[in-house]
Amino acid sequence: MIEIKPNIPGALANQQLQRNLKHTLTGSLESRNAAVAAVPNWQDLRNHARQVKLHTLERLDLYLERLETKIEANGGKVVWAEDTAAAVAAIVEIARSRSARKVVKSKSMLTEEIHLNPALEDAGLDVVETDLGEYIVQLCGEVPSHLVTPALHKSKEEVAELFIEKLGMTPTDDIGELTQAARRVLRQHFLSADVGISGVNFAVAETGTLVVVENEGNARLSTSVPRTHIAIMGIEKVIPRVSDLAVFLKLLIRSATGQKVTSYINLISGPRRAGEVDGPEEFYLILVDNGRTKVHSDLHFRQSLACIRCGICLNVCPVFQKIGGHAYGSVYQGPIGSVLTPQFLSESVAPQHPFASSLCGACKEICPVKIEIPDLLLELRQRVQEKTTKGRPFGEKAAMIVWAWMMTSPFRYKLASWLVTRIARRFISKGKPLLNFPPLSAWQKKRDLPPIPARSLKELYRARGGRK
Amino acid sequence: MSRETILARLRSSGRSESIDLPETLPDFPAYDDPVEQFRVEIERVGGVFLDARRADSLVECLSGVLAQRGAEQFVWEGSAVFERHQIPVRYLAEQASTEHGFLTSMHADSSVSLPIEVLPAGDLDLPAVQVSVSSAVCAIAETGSIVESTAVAGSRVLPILVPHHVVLVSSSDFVQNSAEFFGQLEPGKRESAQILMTGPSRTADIEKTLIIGVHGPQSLTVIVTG
Amino acid sequence: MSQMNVSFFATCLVDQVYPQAGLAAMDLLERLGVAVEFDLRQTCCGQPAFNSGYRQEACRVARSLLEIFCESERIVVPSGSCATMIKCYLPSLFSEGSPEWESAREIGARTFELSDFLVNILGITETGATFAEKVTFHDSCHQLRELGISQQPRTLIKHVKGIQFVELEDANRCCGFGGTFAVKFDEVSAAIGNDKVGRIRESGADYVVANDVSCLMHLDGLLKRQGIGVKTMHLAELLIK
Repeated sequence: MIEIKPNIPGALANQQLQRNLKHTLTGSLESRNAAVAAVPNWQDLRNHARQVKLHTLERLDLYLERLETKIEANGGKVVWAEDTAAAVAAIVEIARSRSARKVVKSKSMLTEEIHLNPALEDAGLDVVETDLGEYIVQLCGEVPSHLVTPALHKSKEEVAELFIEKLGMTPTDDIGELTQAARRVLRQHFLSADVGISGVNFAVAETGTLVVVENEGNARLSTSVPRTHIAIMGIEKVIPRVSDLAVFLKLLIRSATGQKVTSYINLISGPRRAGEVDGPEEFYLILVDNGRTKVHSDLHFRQSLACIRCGICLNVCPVFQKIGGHAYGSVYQGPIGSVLTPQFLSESVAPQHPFASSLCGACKEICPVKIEIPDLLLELRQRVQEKTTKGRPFGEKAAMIVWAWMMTSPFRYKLASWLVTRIARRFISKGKPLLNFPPLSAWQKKRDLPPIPARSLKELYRARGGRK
Repeated sequence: MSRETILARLRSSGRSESIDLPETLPDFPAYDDPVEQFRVEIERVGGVFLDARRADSLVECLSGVLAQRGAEQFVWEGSAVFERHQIPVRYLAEQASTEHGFLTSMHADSSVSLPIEVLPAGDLDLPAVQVSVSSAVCAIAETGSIVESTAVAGSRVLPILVPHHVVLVSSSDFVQNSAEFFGQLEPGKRESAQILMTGPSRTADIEKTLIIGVHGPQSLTVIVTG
Repeated sequence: MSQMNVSFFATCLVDQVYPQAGLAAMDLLERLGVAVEFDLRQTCCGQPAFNSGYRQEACRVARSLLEIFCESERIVVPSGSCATMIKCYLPSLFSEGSPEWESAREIGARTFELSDFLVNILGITETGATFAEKVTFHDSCHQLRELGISQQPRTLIKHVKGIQFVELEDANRCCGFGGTFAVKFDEVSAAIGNDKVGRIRESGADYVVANDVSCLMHLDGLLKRQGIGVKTMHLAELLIK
């Protein structure tokens, strides 16, 4: 079982984390808001993208087959993997058959999901993350704490300490120098790698083209320098047409980083061709299911596969802003992570995720493909309480049944009301801690209880004889 | 096998209502002067814009960039770039064949009338190369992006590996916005890779502080030719 | 013009903990010439169970709400959150196309959050209240995002005589209450709430007004625990001053 609650006190008490979260997330949101304000028809773009995604999900089998056909026509190979084991085995097999020793990777959350790095290391391969944030996280032996900004939780001092220890660089806390140190080390890795592994932002079925969006240039190098390029994507990343990229890229980039466009957008349609000066000799696309067909089979939840991983729902979420990514304990974090994790891993493995939200709706309001995250969380809450007793306070179900029983009869409600006003009031007004049991104890840790009035509204209303 | 399993699962999961693909794209901005809009955008992200639409200014622009970057040796995408953009050049080697190689040139006298050597792709002495020069197939005014394709002998890696990248783009290859660009694009038809570049390489992964030139170049210069 | 009739749905929290807000809302409506019916059989909208994943229980409570209000011409609710429950979520508790689903949809369409009712149905921007204090307004999330109500309460507040209205920084951010979230993730709830408390202090206001007593109960608990003198007030209480 993956728990969130035990991680909360530590996250809230971590001053460094709190500072980084505030600084980074506030900055990201401000950039995003400015970038979106400059687009008068933003809502049209959202509607367009959502429609394309929902259409594609309705015919996912067709578009995946079309993508496969095109990739093969472009000289690439497609491997289908129904779960983690199949995906990992396929990649290890490709690396082994090429006698590969070193793998460079550009950002891919899916490879985190299938725990690819440890599997490749077990197979004797040297694995190097090349996105600066991912590289920092890898050197620390940690996992990303944000979809887009993986090392969000690290301060420059922590990065400096890490680079001094692991790369032997001379002490500095200049971010430019730290970046240059990583550049020098990673440059050598690029030039000596046998296999490059990348994620995919969009895969265009009509042309067999993979789109990889980045700012650093590491994705370009990972997908072009090594002899073998392996791209890995969840089956939901396919889109039918090239033309829609104009919409998707605008939505993704402005949401993710607040830029108008990133420094690089790579369009990759297979391995190097005859007459081209460089590029990989072979190209593989791994299509991964790993729970996605299960999500797809549920008409309610299918829309969660429309996610384009921009990470803006994390940035805007008041809960994420307080606890950061690691507290979720899962690969996918924040609001969309709380929707995806219980579905991918089952409700009993992540029973707290759907509840880690105030349901404020900021995620739904900001999502570039209009995923109804709070509604999905509500559905998941129901499933959790129906399917598992894990993560539920003792006696909650009984309390709810009693509560509903009281609320469905004016007489019983009146009785309960009388008890509250007469008994609870005495203890609260005397400030006695006699009422310090769950859930009131949780309330009272940081908050006073409200004073309970002597008479309820109904009583007051009756007392003054109805209408004034 | 996974393939059949996945497809079977997808086929057996129900359909909600039928949703059609939208027929038209939402509006994208258009500009009276696309080149000027392009300049504004690329300069906003730290790129350098040089206007060489007047034929006599091209040599001046190019030699200025090469001199400014202090490059001793630089590499061209291929001989076609000289013809396409009417850059005067003479070859050291017998014939400028760039089928599987690069043209490098020694930057001797601030002039672009340069001796060019033909090198096979693998023989490039990378650390010595300071500047790469290639041509774009397209420039997008809306975002200040230039597009390079491997079909025109463009390298996938040189624009990233070399510290300073210079791109020549013809003023006839400008489009208004990304909808126009992707609307006419047929990726994979002629090339294995295209790249949209907008400014130099950047990162904000440490404390959201913007740093220029992480894995890719520290500078990107776009020269618009007539 | 014939008198307008409304049914008042006080909500359970107003009934039990904030009766003065309920009385203020009813008095306000009557002062504005509306005939108010307050059916004493009413209890709750079912949201606590619904938000905790207990749909069956929520459904039972919702059914009794439907019975009570099925004849009502218009239902006015002094809470954005409970109005959202009725307007947006009640139908989802019943199977689509069923008589109860139909009834829930009809009742939802006839239900109005108080400030929206005043401004958009009655066409009133000024309630005649006078209150010479510095006041800020907290948008509750459901009211703001699900119902799209943000201007109505501001219009009404700004027309109170003598009032000094100041906007909160980050007004559209959640206060952290979130129903059972407030006790299930109490520390996070309080941490989010303390950001709001900070914004309230920065505003320099002496009163923070909202149209959801749930948010106010949470903010008031935080303010009092920290000994901050800013007072919380339901919108109806302000508009009747």
